Amino acid sequence: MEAKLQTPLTFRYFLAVSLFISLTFLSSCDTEKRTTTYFGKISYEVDLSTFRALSVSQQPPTELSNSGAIYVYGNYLFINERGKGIHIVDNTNPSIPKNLSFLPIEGNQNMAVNSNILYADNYIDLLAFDISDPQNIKLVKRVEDVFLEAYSDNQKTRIRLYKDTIITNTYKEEISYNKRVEDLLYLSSSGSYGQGGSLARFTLLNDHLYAIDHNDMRLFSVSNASSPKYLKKITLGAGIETIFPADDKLFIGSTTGMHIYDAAIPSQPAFLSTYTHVSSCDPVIVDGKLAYVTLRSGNMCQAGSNQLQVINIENPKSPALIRSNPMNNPHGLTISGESLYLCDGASGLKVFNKTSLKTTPNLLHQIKEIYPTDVLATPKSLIVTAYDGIHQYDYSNPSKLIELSHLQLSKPQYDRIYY
Amino acid sequence: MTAYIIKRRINFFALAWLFALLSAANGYAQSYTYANHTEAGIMVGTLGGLPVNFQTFNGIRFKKLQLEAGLTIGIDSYQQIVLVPVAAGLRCYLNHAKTAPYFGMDAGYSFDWVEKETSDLKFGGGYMLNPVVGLRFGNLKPNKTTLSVGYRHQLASAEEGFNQLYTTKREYSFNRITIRFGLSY
Repeated sequence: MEAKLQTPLTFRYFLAVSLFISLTFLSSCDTEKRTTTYFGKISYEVDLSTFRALSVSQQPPTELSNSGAIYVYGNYLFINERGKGIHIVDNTNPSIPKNLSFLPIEGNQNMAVNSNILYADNYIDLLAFDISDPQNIKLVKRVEDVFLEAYSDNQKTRIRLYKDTIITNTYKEEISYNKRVEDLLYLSSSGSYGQGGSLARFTLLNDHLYAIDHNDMRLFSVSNASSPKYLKKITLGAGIETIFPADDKLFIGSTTGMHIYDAAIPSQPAFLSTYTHVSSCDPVIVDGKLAYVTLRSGNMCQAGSNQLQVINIENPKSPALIRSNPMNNPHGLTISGESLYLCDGASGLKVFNKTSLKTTPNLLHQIKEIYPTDVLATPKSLIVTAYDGIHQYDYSNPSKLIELSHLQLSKPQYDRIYY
Repeated sequence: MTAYIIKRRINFFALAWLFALLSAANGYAQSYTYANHTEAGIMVGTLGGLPVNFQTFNGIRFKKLQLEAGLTIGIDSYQQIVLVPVAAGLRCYLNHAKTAPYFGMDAGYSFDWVEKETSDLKFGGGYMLNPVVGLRFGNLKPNKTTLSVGYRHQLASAEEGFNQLYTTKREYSFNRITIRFGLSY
């Protein structure tokens, strides 16, 4: 009897003890530890004198990592590194573009070139550089205190800079969902993709530089190219996206529609009309009596539809829709000759016969899987900004584009796939 | 750190279980039979849902010890994740009477095999520990019915990604009261 019970008792003792241990060690309720990792920016503030003392002189080339706007100037490409500056690329041979140097400009998003002078925003200031020798770029003028929204205090003494364009942060439970979404939106709103293309936010017309941000348009007189003069600010309303000049008119794409301004008197743009449609992001391009507008749905653009609309603007006071072509997720577009080149999200770059878009779209060519955001037709090549870098194509035959080169980003920009 | 401690704890139980099995087999080699204990029940907890737990234990019954040792596999349908636990199992009955109280223990690892992963959603299993106390009713021969109440500790994780833009990793620690009805033969 005793022998029988001895071993089982050990087991029972062991089981009882393990039960006890389990119940005391473990808390009696469920827990969830949530770790969110996302790309963000570290912000820091500097005072005005420190900010203006930051170097804006040419440096050795750096890797393209978060490229934005592109501007073509002669044999050179100016590629914006979002929020950081401008890469200068020698594109004499579009098959082998050479990264020459980097111009560090904090907060830079936009640029425009006028008679050898490059204009670039630098948070609160507008900078003018002499680029007649792209190997030796010089700052010729700083127009101070024009983009006042960039100040981080009311006294206008401090400015918030963002360090390391993209970083990875890990947060735990205490960060609420809304906070993360805001940060994400900040990140995505920091991008404008193509300069000189249809996603432009700086544009030049009749010796004037027009700079748009989300709500306003600022006017600069650049009749003396190397000394831009700030004229005034015009409030346009919310959700301004793009600006396209044509025939002394400014076509401004917004999340609510396309505004048309008469700029016959360049310093006094006059409101003509607004072509309203559903809320979407709206690059606009104008070709003669027709305006081509892309509408897309996306995180930044509220709910909306994906369309390429052809609008008759013969009478700019009452634009009329001719045809709405359903698309996948259209972004920037350009027209060259008889062809319209459209960046259509996951569907890639599409080439249409432009007149066919008024009736039945005739798709001539399509390059898939590059998630393009903007396209620029230059004499040498068709330049396409994509999530993985800058592609250049020979487009002498629009039905058969031939890739010439691909300037790679150090890391693909996955966020572009969605906007 | 916590995972390390839990790992050590589970290793300790695994070793103890192995030791128990071996020593029992040595001493009572002649008097064992096949044992099966199939159970279904619910797991009550604070993190939402009332998950169902189904499991079947297959092993060896050491008659004289009134002890069963073997392997438990099952399926746990938590609201957040469905898991397949694979565990070492022990059942220890306190007497030979018609109605016998028992201690039970299942300790092992639960796998995410039945969850469908996509590029945006990934799952991970985790360690599981489930001590119970119960009663066996001998009224249904040869099957006997059991009723148990226990405590189930389960780790698991789920990771949501939005391409590489952001990812959310949820590490769950389910600590649930289990109530199970079963058949044993």
